[in-house]
Parts: sequence; C-alpha cells; structure tokens
Amino acid sequence: MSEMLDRIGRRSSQRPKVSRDTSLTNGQSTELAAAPTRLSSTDAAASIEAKLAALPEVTSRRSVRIEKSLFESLSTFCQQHGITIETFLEASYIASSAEPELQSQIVIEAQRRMEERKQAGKLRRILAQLNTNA
Amino acid sequence: MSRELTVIACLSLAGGQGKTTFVTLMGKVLAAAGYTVLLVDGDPQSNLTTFLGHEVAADEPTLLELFKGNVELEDAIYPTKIKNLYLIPSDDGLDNVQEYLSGSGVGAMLLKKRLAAAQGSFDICLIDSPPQRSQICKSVIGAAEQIIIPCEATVKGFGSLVRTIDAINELKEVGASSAEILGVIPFRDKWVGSNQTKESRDAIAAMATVVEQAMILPSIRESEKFKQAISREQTLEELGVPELGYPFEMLLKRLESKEVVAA
Ligand SMILES: Nc1ncnc2c1ncn2[C@@H]1O[C@H](COP(=O)(O)OP(=O)(O)OP(=O)(O)O)[C@@H](O)[C@H]1O
Ligand SMILES: [Mg+2]
Repeated sequence: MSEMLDRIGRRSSQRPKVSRDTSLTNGQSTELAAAPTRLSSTDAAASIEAKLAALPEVTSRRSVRIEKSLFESLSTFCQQHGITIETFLEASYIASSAEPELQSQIVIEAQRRMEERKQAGKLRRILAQLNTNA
Repeated sequence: MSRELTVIACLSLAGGQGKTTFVTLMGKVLAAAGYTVLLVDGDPQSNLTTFLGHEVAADEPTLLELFKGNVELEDAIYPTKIKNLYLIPSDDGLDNVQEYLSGSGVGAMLLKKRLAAAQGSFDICLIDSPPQRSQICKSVIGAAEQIIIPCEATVKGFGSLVRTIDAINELKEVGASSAEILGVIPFRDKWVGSNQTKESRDAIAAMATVVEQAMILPSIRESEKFKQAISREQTLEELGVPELGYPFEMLLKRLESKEVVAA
C-alpha cells in the first residue's frame, strides 16, 4: 500500500477543519444568476453587475504590435475561430503554463523575436542619426 | 509499488444521463478488479457522495476546499466502505467554486493540478460531473485524459452528446484539454422482450453519426434494478442480475486492452 493510502486510512481524526457556505442567499449561485426571471430594473442592474463581477476583469486597451508577415494569418486564424488576438494570447499563456516544455520553446522563440526587434530599433536610431547629421 | 494514474471524466451535458449511476457502479467494478480507485464528486448535487453512503460534516474538507487550495489532496480523500475505493466528496457548498474558477483565469487547469498528487497512490481517478456547461465542467474536461459520455437513448440524450462533444472540442481548440473520448454509453436503452424499442434504436443510430461507430459501447439497459443496486449500495452481481453489468465489464476490458490501465 502506498504511504498516502495508508495515511488516508488513518486520517479521520487529523483532517483540518474547514467552514463552508452552503446557503443560497450568500454569494451568487451561478445557476440562480442565470435563471430567466422578471426583475425590476434596479434588481436587473444589480444582477447584471453581479454577473459582471463574476467574469474576469480586463486591463485598459493596450496596443499590440504584430510582425507584418504574421499579422494576416494570425488575424484570419482568430476570425475563423471567432476569437480575438488578445483572447488567443491569454488562452495560449494558460495552456502553455501547463506544458513547461512547450512554454520554454515559446519563450525561446519570443526571445529571438525580441532580439530582432531590438536590433531593428537600434538600426532605425542609427539611420535617423545619420540622416540628421547628413 | 509505483502506479500510473489515469484520470477519466464521466461527462454528459444534460440532466439524468446516467453519469452518477455510471461512476458509482464503474467505480465498484474497477475496485473489485483490484485497481485502487479515486472517485471525485464534481457535482454540487452531490449524488455520488450520497450513493456511496458517505456523509460529509460541515467542517470536513471536500472538493471545494481542494479546488481552492485550502487543503492538501489527501485531506479531501476519504476511504469508502468498499476496499480499494476512495472518494473526494462534495456538498451544496461546491456551487461557490464557480466564481472562484471564473475569477482564477486558470480554471480549466486547476483540477488537473490539484489531482496530480494522486499519482503513485491511485490507478484510476473517475470524476462525476454536473449537467451544466459550467466552470466546474471546464475544469473536469481540463483534468481528464479520457472521457466517457453516457447518453440517454432518446432525443434529449442525443442532444446531450452533441453538446458534450462541442464543449470538449472547444477546450481542445484552445489547448486546455488533451482528453480522448473513451466511448459513448447509451443509457436506459429500452427493450421489450427481445426487441429494442424504435426510440432507443433511432437515438443510438443518431449517436453513431456524431462519433465513430466503434465509440458506441454496449448500452445500459432500462431497468429498475440499477436504482435498487444503488439505493441498497449493492453491485448488480450481488443483486442477482450480473447480466446487466455487461457494459461495465466491457468498459473494463476496453480500458485494459487500450492499456489505459495495466491489466
Ligand atoms: N438502467 C436504468 N434504467 C432506468 N433508470 C435508471 C437506470 N439507471 C439509473 N436510472 C435512474 O435514472 C436517473 C438519472 O440517473 P443519474 O442520476 O445517474 O444521471 P446523471 O446524469 O448523474 O444526472 P444529473 O445530471 O442530474 O447528475 C436516476 O433517477 C436513476 O435512478
Ligand atoms: Mg449526477
């Protein structure tokens, strides 16, 4: 028998005590929130606010700049699946967090791209200096 | 002895499709075959917990506290009356995990992560799921390596199969699931004497248009004996109707032949 099974068998007296809310009224049960009931407009607003609060909040708009050659295929891909580049990015991050090997491949590729962008930035600055000096 | 853990979810996105009946009886069949089995009650209705004759005290850890990371895996696992059969129970409080999961951002990955420590101690983890397409369901799909879909042999059951496959594919598309469909089990397949009813036959034929024919497993027949077996906490064999256990025995064979579990 594994040690864990052995411990589980002897555990009854040593489990940590917890407290749990099983009431319907505290917190919003998602099932109730989804029920199609008639509500007054203030109730409706409160209920919508509660639903909103249960959904993840997003940051204010940030510009995402994508390599031109990739932009088209990435946009098409997202359109085909009815998602946005942002939600794709979020989901990729989540999914790859569970796959350390895949994630490190992604990071390596991203670092290579980062280098390219830095290089391009540097070259652009030098070019600008040459042009102003000329 | 080190074991290879296989996580199997029982999923069907409509009420009354036989999920809990399947998990209860399959758990017992697997345990009787010598596997060390961990059952997980993923439904706030907590029928699985009840069917196994387990009572959770209000201050005892359940799946909720495990989800939230408040307790260690082994604090949430309880032995049952049956040898080799263990349970992570639930109660109504599990409903509150929905908000926690939607707020966490990694809801789909969470159950998988929480169950990882069962590796080495259990052979099979079998998860019962709620009928709604909810955050819990997402996390159950995320945790599963194999998914078994019981569906009533009716139009409603067919609809449930379609919804379930859609949900799995949706999570696969974003890489949140790598689950394989182990099979579809028609539930409450009705026969009159030696004739299958037209409704059952048509519904099962429709199921075979959604998944490959080979995925349709032997059905669970319509019979009051299943309710009896469950309410008396007996096996179908103990109840004197071993022939009704055929779908469970066949699934055990499929698991062993696919080397999902070591025979
Ligand atoms: N073979 C059978 N023939 C007829 N009825 C059955 C059979 N097996 C179980 N039942 C009954 O069918 C009903 C639904 O079964 P079960 O609770 O397993 O479904 P479920 O998918 O878990 O439901 P829920 O989605 O509500 O959790 C129960 O009332 C059960 O007693
Ligand atoms: Mg159930």
